[in-house]
Amino acid sequence: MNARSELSIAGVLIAFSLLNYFYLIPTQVVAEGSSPVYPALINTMLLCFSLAYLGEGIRAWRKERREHNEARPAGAHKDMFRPLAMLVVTGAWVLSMEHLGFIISTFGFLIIASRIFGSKSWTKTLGLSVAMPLIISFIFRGLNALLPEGPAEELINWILG
Amino acid sequence: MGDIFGHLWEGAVYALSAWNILAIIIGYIIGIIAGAIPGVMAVTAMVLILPYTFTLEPLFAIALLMGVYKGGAYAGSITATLFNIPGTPEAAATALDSYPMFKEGMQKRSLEIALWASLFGGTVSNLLLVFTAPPLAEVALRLGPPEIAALILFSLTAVITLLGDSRMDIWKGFISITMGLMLATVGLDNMSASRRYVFGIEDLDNGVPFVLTIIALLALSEVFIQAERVGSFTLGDAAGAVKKIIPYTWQQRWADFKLCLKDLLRSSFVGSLLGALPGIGATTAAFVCYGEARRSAKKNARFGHGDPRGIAAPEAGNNAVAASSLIPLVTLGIPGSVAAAVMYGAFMIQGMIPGPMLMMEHPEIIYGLFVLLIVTDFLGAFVVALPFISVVQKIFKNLNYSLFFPGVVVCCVVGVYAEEFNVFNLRIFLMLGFVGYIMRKMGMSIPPFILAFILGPILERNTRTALLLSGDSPMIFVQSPIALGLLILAVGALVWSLWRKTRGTKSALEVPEEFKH
Amino acid sequence: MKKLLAVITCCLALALVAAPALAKDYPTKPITAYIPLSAGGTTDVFVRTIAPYMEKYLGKPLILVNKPGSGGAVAISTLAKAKPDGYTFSWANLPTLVTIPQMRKLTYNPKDLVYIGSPMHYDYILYVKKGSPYKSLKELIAFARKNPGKVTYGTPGLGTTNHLGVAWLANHEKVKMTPIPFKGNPKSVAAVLGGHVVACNTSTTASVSSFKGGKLTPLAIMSANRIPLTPDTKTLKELGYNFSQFSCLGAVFPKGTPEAMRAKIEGAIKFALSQPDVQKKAKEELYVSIDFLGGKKYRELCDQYWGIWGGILKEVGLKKY
Repeated sequence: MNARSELSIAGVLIAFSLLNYFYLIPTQVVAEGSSPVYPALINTMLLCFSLAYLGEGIRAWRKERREHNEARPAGAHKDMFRPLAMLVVTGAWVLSMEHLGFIISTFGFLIIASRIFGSKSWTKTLGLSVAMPLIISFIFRGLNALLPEGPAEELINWILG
Repeated sequence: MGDIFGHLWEGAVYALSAWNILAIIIGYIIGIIAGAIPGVMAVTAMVLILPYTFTLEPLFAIALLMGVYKGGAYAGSITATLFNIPGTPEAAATALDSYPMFKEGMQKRSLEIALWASLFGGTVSNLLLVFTAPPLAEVALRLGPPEIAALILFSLTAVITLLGDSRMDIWKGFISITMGLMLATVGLDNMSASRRYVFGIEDLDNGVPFVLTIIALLALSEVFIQAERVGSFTLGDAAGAVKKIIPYTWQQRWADFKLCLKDLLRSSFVGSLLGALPGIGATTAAFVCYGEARRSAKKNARFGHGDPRGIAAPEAGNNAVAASSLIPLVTLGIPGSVAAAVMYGAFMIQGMIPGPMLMMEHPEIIYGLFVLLIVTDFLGAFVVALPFISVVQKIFKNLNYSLFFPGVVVCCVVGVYAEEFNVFNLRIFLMLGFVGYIMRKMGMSIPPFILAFILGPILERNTRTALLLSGDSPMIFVQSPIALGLLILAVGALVWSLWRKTRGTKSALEVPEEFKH
Repeated sequence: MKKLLAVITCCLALALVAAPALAKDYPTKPITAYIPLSAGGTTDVFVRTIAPYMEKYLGKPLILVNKPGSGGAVAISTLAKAKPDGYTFSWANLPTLVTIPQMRKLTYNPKDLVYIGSPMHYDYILYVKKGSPYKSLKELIAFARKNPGKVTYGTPGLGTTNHLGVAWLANHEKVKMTPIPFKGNPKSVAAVLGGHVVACNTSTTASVSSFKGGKLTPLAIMSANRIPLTPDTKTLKELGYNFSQFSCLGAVFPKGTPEAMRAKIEGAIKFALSQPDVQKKAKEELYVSIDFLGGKKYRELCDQYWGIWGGILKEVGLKKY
């Protein structure tokens, strides 16, 4: 974390608390008939702490400028690539689960996610991606609990009669 | 007193059959597996098993659920130690020290400390349940809204010890606390039955579920963090995984026991007390015990870097909650926690309503339950948990991380889904997981957020209920001597912790690296 | 990727083969039923008690799914989006269909649903702590008249029938009593036991143990009939008020479900209720009153109480829609 990013985070937090004061609290709290006291109290706390944080950030920034050190490590953006990819894949999985059913969507998720995590062996990846959703869905079936259903589940239902 | 032993004997005769012991072991195995899998809670397992108890013998069913409950209470610490992914929310505090200790190659030590501390806390709390349940329940009843509010405020000050040391870290910690409080305001405001930050989505009316939040912030965000490091680990060599495993000798065990004894005792009692109050729960107890251990330790303690007391205190604390949260159930018929509510259901399925009546009419059932509880801890620890951790360690050696982390995500998602069978929850889960990742990148520590998220609503609710009872007069907080005392303690603790923090040497009290980034 | 596509097409093709059969064979596969509360409560245990008999009648399993949240609205809104093919229905407590839609904006209209029937209703009792100075409802009200707002009563939440019942009473007597919302019936009972509130209006089950343990004094039965738990306690009607607190459990299908299917499930509920086992458990262990209402009657009652509870909601300032 360098001082500049600390400053921008503080900025975002302050902006959020202002948004909260002037938009969210009136429309989502007061308009619904709730008391704004407690949300406003927390929001004020957030604003105060964010301002203090901003101040601390400015101090750090000045110090950094005086010392001329660029603390930013190279390739920081590159680091974010895999987590972001994971986020997207997990999101796609969660959203598709209702339509594709648990087994198929999880199969797809595991294949792609293990690639993101650098899996080298296709046999192991495939083994896990097939076995895990099946085992989980059979456990749930055994417990008489429901996972989102799709074509694969219909097929199993049909086979089991 | 003699009476109690008489009842205990009757209970033992009634309850200790081979079948019931088998039930305990089966239950403990289910609990330990469910608890160790990140995202899958022992309570979820209990809920899923519950309908099957219709056809079981009463005590067999209850012993089974008891085993699941106790197994789950311990098991969260296993994954917390090995992967910094707490298997259950209550193990979140344990990870603060057990993961660093593991990284130094002492996985056997940290896993065992967690196990023995769980056994210790569980047993102390079992004994308290047997011998002091009625008076403890009476105390818990007497604590009204103002007293609870003051108590929660006091518990919240434990959070200060979890903050970093530099001024920057302290401000970030406070921001983290307020964000936790803020997230907890989402949902229906129970005091006026109207919505706050719901955006017209019914699924948000009950707020953001707390298990989901904790698993997202701790487990899912850890997976994102690990995704970043993919380049740096090859198969079988995880993020800073350790090849050499340092053995754990008997002398070290004894030394650790002596070092931790004070914390074990304190945590067991604090955990039992917090557990006896409805709605506070094991996660809070673990953090409070951790905070207290840290607060009372000398300056040269290695908290956050693998101090054994940092494992023993929260583990003893969260396991102490397991038995004591049954106190309101057996003495008053009031389930004080989610797990207790499931036990309530289990009793009801068997045609019994737990409470003072059951205690009077069928003491052998209640005392049988107590005997089973005591037996469960020992049987579980020696027969199930010890072999289990050695198996886990073997698996761990040959773990394929590129498959493991996606698998963890699947388990988390399935666990979260099975809580309420609501796909909407999965979306919040994913969002919060990413928020947790961003927060960790920003250097905001997660534990203060979690503690504020759990305690904030209880604090708000009890404060407002107290004001409602007094007709908006704040004097109600001062009139009750208990509330006043707790408030003074809270303010004192806050001032003292902050003073100590600003005066403190940098090396002594630090947020562990894993929560910083 | 090609492989994956092939698998998907295969599955789809097979799924079509297993397409839904005709309504007269209904049901041909397991039926999903939502329970709008978490596991382990009275309602949950009751539903799980009658479920095996319903399964016996239907010849197919019921998959019971606990979907708690928003006073049952989460379960019903999921139901409202489900296909009306007869394979998804939900249990619902009366407030979910009657009071909650008047208190907050929801994504479903309860009047669109298909009402299957109602197996039982709940009973409510107004309690004070044993040894409290109020021996009867009259004394409590007299005290409230002299000390406006000093009588506090615990409820499991604002806008619950427990709250509205006492609110009606207070309004009728023109006295001021303060409702204190707690998280569920057991906590409201605990608040009475701890002496933090004066009275509480609670469902029977939550109070059985404390009452039998001699820690509570019942003042009145808020619901319509006397109950076996407190045989000597008079109902509000017997005390001269023309009012009773009513809430029941029922089952609903999404809009557009065929009548034949509704009738089949209704029959299953009726069959399950006729079992001596179920009757015994409901009366002696769960303390709820079995009281079968057919779909039509159930709907009428809901409509009737839409007005009754709606009126009280308006008086206490909670009616918004």
